[in-house]
Order: sequence, then structure tokens, then C-alpha cells
Amino acid sequence: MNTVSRRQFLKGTGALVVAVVVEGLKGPAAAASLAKLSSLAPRGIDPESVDSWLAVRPDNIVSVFSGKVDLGTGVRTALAQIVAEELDAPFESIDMVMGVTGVTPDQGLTDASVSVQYGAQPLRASAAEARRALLRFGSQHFGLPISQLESVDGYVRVKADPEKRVSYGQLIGDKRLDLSIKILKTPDFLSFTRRAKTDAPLKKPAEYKIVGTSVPRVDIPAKVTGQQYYLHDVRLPGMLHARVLRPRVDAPAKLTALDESAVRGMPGIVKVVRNGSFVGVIAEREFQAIRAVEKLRESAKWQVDTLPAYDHLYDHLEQLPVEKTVSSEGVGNPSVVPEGAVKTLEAEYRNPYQSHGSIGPSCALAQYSGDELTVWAATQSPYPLRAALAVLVGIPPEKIRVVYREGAGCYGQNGQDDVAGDAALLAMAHPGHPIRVQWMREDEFAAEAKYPAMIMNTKGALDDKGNVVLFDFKFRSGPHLARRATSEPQHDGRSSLIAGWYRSRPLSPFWVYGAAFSRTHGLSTDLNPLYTIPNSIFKGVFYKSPLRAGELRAVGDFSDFFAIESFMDELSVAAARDPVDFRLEHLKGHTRRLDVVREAARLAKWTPHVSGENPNGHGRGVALAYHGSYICVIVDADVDRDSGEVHLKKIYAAVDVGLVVNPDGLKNQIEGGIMQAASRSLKEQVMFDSNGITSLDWSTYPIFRFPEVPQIEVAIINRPDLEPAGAGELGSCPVAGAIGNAIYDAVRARVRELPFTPERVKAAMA
Amino acid sequence: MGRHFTLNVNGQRRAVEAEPEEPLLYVLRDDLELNGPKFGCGLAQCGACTVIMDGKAIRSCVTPVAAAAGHDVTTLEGLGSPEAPHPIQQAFIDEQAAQCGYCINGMIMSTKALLDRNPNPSDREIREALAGNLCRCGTHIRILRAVKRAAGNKGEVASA
Repeated sequence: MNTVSRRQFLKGTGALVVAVVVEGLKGPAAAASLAKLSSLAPRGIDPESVDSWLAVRPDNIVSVFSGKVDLGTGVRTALAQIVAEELDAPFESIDMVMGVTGVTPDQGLTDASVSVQYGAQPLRASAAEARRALLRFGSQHFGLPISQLESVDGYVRVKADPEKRVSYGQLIGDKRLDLSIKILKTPDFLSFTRRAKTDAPLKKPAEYKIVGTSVPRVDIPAKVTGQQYYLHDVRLPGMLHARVLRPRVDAPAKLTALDESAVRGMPGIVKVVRNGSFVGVIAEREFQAIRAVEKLRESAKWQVDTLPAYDHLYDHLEQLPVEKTVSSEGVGNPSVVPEGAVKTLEAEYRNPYQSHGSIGPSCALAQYSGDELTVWAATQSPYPLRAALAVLVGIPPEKIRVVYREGAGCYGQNGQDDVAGDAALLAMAHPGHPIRVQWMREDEFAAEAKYPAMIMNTKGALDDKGNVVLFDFKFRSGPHLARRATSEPQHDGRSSLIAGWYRSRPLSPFWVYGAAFSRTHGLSTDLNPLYTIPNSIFKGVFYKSPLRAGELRAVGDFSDFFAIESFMDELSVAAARDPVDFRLEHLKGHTRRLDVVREAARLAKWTPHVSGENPNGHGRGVALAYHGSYICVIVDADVDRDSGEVHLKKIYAAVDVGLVVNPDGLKNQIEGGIMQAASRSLKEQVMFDSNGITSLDWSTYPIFRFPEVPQIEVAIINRPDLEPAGAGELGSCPVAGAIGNAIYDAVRARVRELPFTPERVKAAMA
Repeated sequence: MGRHFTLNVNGQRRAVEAEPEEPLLYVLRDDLELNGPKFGCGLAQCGACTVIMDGKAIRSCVTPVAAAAGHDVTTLEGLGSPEAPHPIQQAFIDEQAAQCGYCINGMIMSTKALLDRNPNPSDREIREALAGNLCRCGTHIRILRAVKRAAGNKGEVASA
């Protein structure tokens, strides 16, 4: 879509664009704005044009068009702070439009904790360009040189006489800025974030007034008062309700029997849709759709692939063929035990499949006009989803619009896109009506792409001074990515959408072997250890996962640091050294890593000791991790010797994310990541039998409840001279290792398999 | 084809037509267009659907509409608005006690029911009152602080 027609759209219906993406649609206005959206034919939005990223309206509201979306993490607020700062506009004047194809630029996936570090760059660059231009316009307006003017709070004013001022809106009105930024060509997986630079002056941290402050999140007031905010709250004229019918598996299946007549005559049934093995029911009321699907399930039979035995999962994974190998370059000569090594250790660590566990099962709406398809989805990747939908339903992407609306926290690839695929298929089968598909709790647990089971093997050696002289790390993992980053439809016979696997002419499941280590998704080999060790190698192999596997918060780092940090502690015990000192010894010269470890130790009032030397049931464990930023956590835990129960009392964390945009927002995300990872470490495992997934609700997949949550305290090391790096996933990385280390310290028992159930802790104590 | 029921919701009498066994949650959300109570599980395991009926926190996902007819029902939006938030809602804003916010309806409604019967709960009592409310984003500590703030006590929240 060229910029001129998009601005014409804004001129006429700017308020409606805002209404669509911020407030929700209801009543006659909804139909009008839907028609407006449908009439736009999205062509490419030029990411090098400032007008693609922001527009100043005559009323001085600044519309910002972000390809990154807010998944409930506070990114909307942080990005608005960055634009307001650079533009010298009031924070309240920033109106974030996020994730609407044909309206916002394509920034790929909102993942990898790079929304602030990379995703904000074109917004910031555009704001800087706009501010420079506004001062120029102001200079023309006042007939004064720019040096006598300043930009403040959405106005250009005369320094010597501040009453003389003109608003940005008056200076620009609805005119195009016709300015450019430079999008950087970055040859990595995250190139879709559209990193950018400008030669317009950028503010220095010392000048910041908004960035660096804890601006309250703009979405919280609406959420705590029940305003119409979530995707789940969207109501459209003529909307119908639908539920889908699938077996409790996360794989393709062939429908071999179904008695549709069983639902004939049930009240409110509009249509039973069958498309190959895909089955959905459209009804007037939600409860009618739910009951109809329950009825159909009684007669439905599918052919599904058998799953391996749950009790022998790891044995099964060990013997699967290797599909891909990755390796760091290595340091020194890691294939031999070095001369001078006096002790060697080996250990194997494991984690099971785990679930995203979104509190709100996934939901989507779709409406097909007969020509164009509009889909409302809580998707991390509007443009790639659009491409996947184009392949699914067989219409060109230009005829599809994806509108982002916030769902429940997704933490990666939950059912967000799959449900959109379901809604699209149903909408195509029943044109003219918005079709709302709400996944049930069991649908979400069964079908989502899960965190893959992993096996980590470590081998290490110590010299006579108690230093690590060898660290050999290897993982065996399923894929950590099950959707595409590209916005071009791919016709390779695969689909990232379950609906694609079930429709007639079925497509096979899509995944990528990667992302098992590091923020760059492990597709490069950025696998260098945090510690200075003269001989080291980090490598891994991928297996074809029997369960559907994809991105969950922090990807493979959750497991890798569990293994690495547990093993560092095992080495520290073998060296009879305090685990904090042990780590500091191996971090010499790495200021940021040293500082987070020292700060966590200070916060926790760590007293030096050898782990496990006093196994009185109370323990502390430390762990260091990296995910674009640095974090060190210390866990205080009690272990009950009789039951094996682990009771987390408190978790301390020190984080260094470079420049901090919103300190409280950062703390919120770190606390959340730590808490979620603690729940995963103590409680979580996806269970299954030969027929399918059996962890289908909160009783079969328990997560933390209030009585068991630890206290958490976070200290931030602010480094405004550095780029702001990611925080969303950082808290998930060190926690499992720190808890395992605390357990060892408490009862001198090493548990190497997650979750740390009482049975496992007791077995380790035996 | 349903039956007619009259509900008292947020101080207003509302007429609805539904099957008697239809969960109150869907009637509130779809017929009365309320956003507060949310679908989380449909199994009374997560608390996202919590509303207050006759002063008690109930799970609207397993409460048939027939059982709610004639009773006083309060939903999240019935407590307050962004312009005039209820003190509990304000406490959650002040503590920034939300990430995705999807669970917060249940947290606030459970808190309202708790503080109405126990205006000065201990940390243990708060944790137990909210034991039926799940949060996946890990906002627990802020939620506990918000409840204490709403109770008028800004003291530290102890560990479990």
C-alpha cells in the first residue's frame, strides 16, 4: 500500500483505525470501519519512509505504526516512551497502532526479546527525523533560525519567548513528511525487525526525560476495569460462534467416522463444516457450539500416529536419528582431557515437554466478504500469519487483512495462529458473517506447540588450583521453532497451522531445527560460554519430535542454563569452593557478568560456603545466565527431608539490560519470567499416552498457585551508555539451575531432571 | 428456544433468554456484553471467570444461568471504571499488578469478596483466598502487594 493512500485513509477514518486496534468494535461503527479496512488493498509499506512509521495529526496526536505488538509485556508503553522522547511530544499524545497488515510495517515476529533493542529503532529514527523537520518548519513559520527555537511537548517554540509557539499538528497537519531512514541489512534471523539508522540527531541518555522513567503502563487501567480490550472481547454485528473438533493430539490425523446427524435439530446450529478431516461447528450461541462439538466427539474416530511411552521418553529420544547438528567453534582443545587436570566430572540433565499454559485459551475471529478475508488474531507475527493463511485458504495475501488484538499472555507459540487458521477456514465456509472461534482449555493444552524435551550432557575437568580447564556441553533437543518468519506465502507442502494439516489436500506440519541455544535462535553458532575456560565446546543435535515442538519463552536457554549452571556448581563442589567465588574466578575481565553476580550476592547477603557443606534442609543456589542481557539469581529454598518437597522462600535477581527504558516495566517482566520458570522447574511436565496428550487441564498440568509462590526481589544495574537489550525472556534462563543448586545446598542431593518433584528429590537423597 | 431469566447485574435488572444450564459466563459476556469475567478453563480450575453473587466469589463458567436468576451479580466493570476506579482497582493500578492482565478479573473479584468478609487479612489468608486464581505471567507478588494496599496496609508481603 503506498503511503499516500494510507494517509488518505487516515485523514478520512484515522479515528476509526484507532478504534479498530485500541478500543474494539461494536455496533454500526464496527460495520463501517470493517468496510473501510476491507476496501484497502495493502501493497508494500516502505519501511524506509518515515511516513510509514508515524503520522502527526492536526489535533497533535501522533499515530505510531509499529510492526511489533504488545503481548501483555508493556512494550506498547516502552515504545511510546521512546517515540515521545525522541520527538519531544507528550507521552499522552502517542497513539500506538500495532500489528495491522497493510497499515503497520512488517517487522516479522515479536519475539527474541528484541522489541525494544531492535524493533524500536525505525520508530526512534523516524521520530528523530520528524523532530528535525518540525524545527525546520517552525523556522519557516516564525521566520527565525532553528538555533532560536526548541521542540517541547508537541510544540515548536521560541526559546526567548516561550509563549510564541506552534503545535506540530499545525505545522504538519496531514502533510507527508517525505523523509527517509536507512533500514540496515542484517544477515541474521532477526533481520525482519528492521533495524534502522538516521543522520538526524538522536538524544543522549543524559537528556532523557521520559525514557528511563517508570511511566505507568497505558493498558492496565482498561484491563483492571473490564473495558473492551482483548481479542476475546471483540463483538461484531452478525457474529457467530464456533468450536472445532479434533482428537487430543498435536499432530495430523485422519477422520474416519463422524455422525453429523447427531447434531441436526440441536438449537442454534448454523452449520457443521467439514473440510477433509477438519471439523467445526458454527452456532448462534457459544454454548450451542460447545454442546454440538461434544455430541460430535461421541461418534468421531480418527487415525492418529502412536506416541512413544511416556515412561521411556528419554530412552526413545536418545535413539532417534540426528536431523541436524550445531556446534560452536570451540576454544582450545576440548576433545581431550587437558594435562594438569586432577578431576573430571560428567553429568546428564533432562527436561520434559512443557506447555505455554496461557490462562486464556486462544481465540480468533474471521470474516470473509466473498472477496476479502479479515482475521483478528493475537498473533506475534501478523504478516507471516497472513502468508500462512493465504496458503491455507488459497487466496492471495493482498486479499487478507490480519488485525492484531491482544490475547492472554502467550510466551511464544501457543495456539494463537492455529485458531486463526480455524477461524479462516470456517469463515470461508460461511461467508458474510464474522466467525468467532474460542479454543477450549483441552484444545489449547493438546494442540499447542510445546517446549521440547531435552537431554544435556556435560563433561568438565578441574586443575589442582580448582579452576575449570575443560567444559564440554552437548544438547539433544527437538525443534524450538514451528512457524515461519517470512511474509511471502510458501508453497512447500507444509503449514504452521493445524487447520492446514486437517483440511482436504492436507499439508504437513512445519518446523525448524534450531533455537535450542541463545537469543539469535541458535541458527548461528553463537554458543560461547559465559565463563573463561581454556578448553570448551558447545554443540547440539536435533531429533524429530514425537510431540509438536516450538518456541516457549527463552527457548532452549531454559534448559541449557539449567545444565550449565548445575554443572558449574557440581564443579565448585568438587573443587571445594564457594559457588559465587568460583564463578567470579572464571569471569575475570567480564565486567557486566561480574557485576550481576556481585550485585545478586550483595542483595541476598550471600555468605561464602561450599554448596552442600551444611545440609540442614535450608539451601541457597546461584546461577548466571545471558539472553541478550545478563542476569544472576540466588534462590533460597527449604527442602523437606521426609517428603522431598521443595519450598521456595525467596529469589533474588540482579539484571543488566543496558539502558533501561522503564525500570518498573523491566522489574515486572523479570519477576514474571522468574516466577514462571520456577513453576516450570518444580511442577511442570506434559503427559501423554500412546493415543495422545493427557495433560489437558490444570489438574493434569498443575502450575504454581498462590500458597507456594516465593518472594522475589530484583535489582537493576542501569547502563545508559549501552543499547537497551531484552528483558522478556531473561528471567526464564537461570532459575532451574539456581533451584537445583539450592536443593543441593539444602540436602546435599543433586537432582538433574526437571521438574524437581518431591519423588525425584527423595530419590536423589537416597 | 431458551427460557427467560431476569438477572440483577451490577445493580441493573437485565432480561436474558438462555437454556437453564447455560453457564452464566457466556450469558454475561455475549448477551449482556460484559468484558470482566473471562473464559479460562470452563472447569472452575483457574478463576478467570470469577464474579460475585450475593457477596460470594463464584466461578461463572460452571454456574448455570438458572442458578443466578434473581440473585445480585457483580462483575469487574460493576466495581468501577477507568475514570472512577474502585479502591481495589486503583490498588492494582498503583502496584502495576498486571502483565497480560487476563487473570486480573478473577484476582480483583476474589479480592473484593475476601476484603468484604475479612478487611485486614494476613499474608497467609490472602494467599489462600487467591489459591483458586491462576496467573501464568508470574505477577503474584505484585498482586499480593495490591491486595495489601487495598486493605489499607502497605506492609511487606511475607514469603509463603
